[in-house]
Amino acid sequence: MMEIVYLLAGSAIILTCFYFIVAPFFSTNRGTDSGFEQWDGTLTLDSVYGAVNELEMDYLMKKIKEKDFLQLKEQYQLLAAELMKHESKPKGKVNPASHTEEAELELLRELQKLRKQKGRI
Amino acid sequence: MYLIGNITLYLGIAIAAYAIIANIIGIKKQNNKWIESARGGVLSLVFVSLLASFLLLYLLGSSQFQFEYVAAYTSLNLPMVYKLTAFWAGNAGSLLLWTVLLCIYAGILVYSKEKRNPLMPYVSIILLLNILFFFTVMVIGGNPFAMTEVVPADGKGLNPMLQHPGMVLHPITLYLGYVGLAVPFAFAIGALILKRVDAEWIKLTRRWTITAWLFLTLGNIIGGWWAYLELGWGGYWAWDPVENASFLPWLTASAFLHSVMIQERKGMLKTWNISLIILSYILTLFGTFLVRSGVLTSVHAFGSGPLGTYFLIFMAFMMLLSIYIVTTRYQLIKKDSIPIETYFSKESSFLLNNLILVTGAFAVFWGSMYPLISEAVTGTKINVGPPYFNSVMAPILLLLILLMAVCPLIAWQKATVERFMKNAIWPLIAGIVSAIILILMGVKGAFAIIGLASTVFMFATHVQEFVQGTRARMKATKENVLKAVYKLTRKNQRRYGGYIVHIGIAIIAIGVIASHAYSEEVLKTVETGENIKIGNYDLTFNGLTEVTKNGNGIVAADLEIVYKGKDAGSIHPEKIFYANWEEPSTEVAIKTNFTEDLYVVLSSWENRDKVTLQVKVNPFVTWIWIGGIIMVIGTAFALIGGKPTSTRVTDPLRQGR
Repeated sequence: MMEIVYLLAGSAIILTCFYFIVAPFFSTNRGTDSGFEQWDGTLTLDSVYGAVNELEMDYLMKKIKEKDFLQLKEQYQLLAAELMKHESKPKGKVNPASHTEEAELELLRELQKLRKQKGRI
Repeated sequence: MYLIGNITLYLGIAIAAYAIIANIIGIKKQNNKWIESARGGVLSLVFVSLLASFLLLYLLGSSQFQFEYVAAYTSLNLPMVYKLTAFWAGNAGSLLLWTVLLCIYAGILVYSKEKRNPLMPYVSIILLLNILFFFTVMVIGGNPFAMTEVVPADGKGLNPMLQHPGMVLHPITLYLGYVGLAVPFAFAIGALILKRVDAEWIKLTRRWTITAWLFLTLGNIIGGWWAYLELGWGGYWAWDPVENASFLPWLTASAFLHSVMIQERKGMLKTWNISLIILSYILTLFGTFLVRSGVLTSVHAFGSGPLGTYFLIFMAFMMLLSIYIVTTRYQLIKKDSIPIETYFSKESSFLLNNLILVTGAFAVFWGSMYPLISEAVTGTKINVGPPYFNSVMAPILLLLILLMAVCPLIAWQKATVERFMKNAIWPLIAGIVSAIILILMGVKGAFAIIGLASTVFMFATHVQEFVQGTRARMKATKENVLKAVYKLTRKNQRRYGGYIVHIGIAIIAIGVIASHAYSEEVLKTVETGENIKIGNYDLTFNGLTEVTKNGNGIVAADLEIVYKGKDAGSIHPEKIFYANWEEPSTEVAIKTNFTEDLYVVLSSWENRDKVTLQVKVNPFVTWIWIGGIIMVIGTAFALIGGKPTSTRVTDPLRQGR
């Protein structure tokens, strides 16, 4: 009697696995569409600001010179502005002018913050 | 039960083989249905491996001695917790544990949010190759569901030394680490096949790598804790080949965790990172081979058998496959690699740290394999013991501590010697002052003093990093101290988590150096009423007692302790004679305080009134366990948060410079 139970349980296990494997072939998804998402390894504004924050902390912790800090920060700002312009292009629907304005505003904000810090430190 | 158990194993082989083929067809035909089917295969593997595991747990828990594995590792009088943890006491069970963990990891990966990443089918194939190997090995050489010819009335029982909480946790944590390293390895190989040699695979596996490292750390520390409490030789690390086998991937994975930061930020060390993760993965297989082959003598080995050969073949196959893929993609990796620009920079210090860690790994590997090498070359097996490892590894670990002391002080970009020196001055003074204090206190041993002072230097550097970071934040944001500390660490969990790990290492280093250099030991035969003096302790032997508990005979010595002239209670080292185990076990008696352990072993006795005791005073051993806990906390902190800064931030800057 128990052997039949085990046999049935074993069959149920095999059938479950078979279902998991075969089910995708009967789903309504298009088989030829790989559906793969490409890796978006492009530089993001977040990562640039992250780098600027880290740079700022290194400067405030006196690990780098003021001259180097300002030079690097300026380069990051240019990079951020470029990124904003670049990001606005493929979307299309958004007004590119608004991004340029945003970039300029952001730059202004950054520069203002920089001036404040220079005055404080 | 036999039928179901074996169905799960054979089904595991068939499904793993099918899922590999389905993935290959899916990749070739660019057909998602095949990939989905392979994913279903992985889900089936999770299902069958879990089923097999629960079945084995049931068999162990219900003492079904008609199964060889249950009869070999459990007995009727074994407590339930040890009946269940006998799951990983032997070869077959530990193979099943490895398999189920691998299947679960693969399942999590292929159903993660990255499941549509083009890398995933390749990653899945690599993991499935491992799964296929493990299921096959179980069927041909270590079947946990094999039956006995004659059903015994009782099982042989579990080795008493393994009946300890440490052994409940040590194997499983170590396996979680071992199996975890297969994930970044699979991603690295997948990325190479797809010719995507950027930092994507590193970012996708960051959490997997840290998790694997966390478990390897935990596994090693719990292993040391168990050895200290259970083996009765007074130490926690014997440089045993099997211990070394778990230490090797820890060393290379530590190097990898550091060097990936350079690739993420600067696009450097691509070949190095790929080599390191391949090496770490191969070393996990090597460790498993050592434990199962019986080629080296070890207290931890599962014994000899054909399993070692299977592992050797699989290890060679994976190594050759990796070498082939790396060499065919080498020009591509080299093309995009950026050389290190300046000697004094964060990246140089990280590279140096890597070289030291890999040198350490090589030294441990060489020492562990020397008996085999010497036998092959000269025909005589020459064992190298702790003196070799201590003398080689001590300077290596000292260099690492010094590097950990200076590395955080070097800025990521535009580092200058002048700024570094300014920042290093206070931690350096702390180190020097500590050395002077130790000398004035009468502490002997130049190497130990240098080691302790370097550790203080390293500890002070990290404290300074926290203090200066908080101050800088308070200055910039006008936040109060608590908020500034919170925000500082929360904003960069990866960095500060790493610093917490380093602080844990500093505390461990103090424990290791002090316990090695300043432990005291007495081996003395005493009669009832006689004393043993050691350090600040005065022990009086009050006689030997003998009791029977759960069918086991326990012989215990009663010792009264006086610590610094004050009564400190009593201590009872034991020897246990088991009803169903030939070898008696030594139960160490330990009296712990924050700065030292009194460690007493009952070595032998002539009669109830005359015993030989081994008494040790091990300074700062508790610090090793505390440091270990801090390391785990730091790793968990880095794991929970900590988004990495993008690689390519610096590339355009370099071009613009």
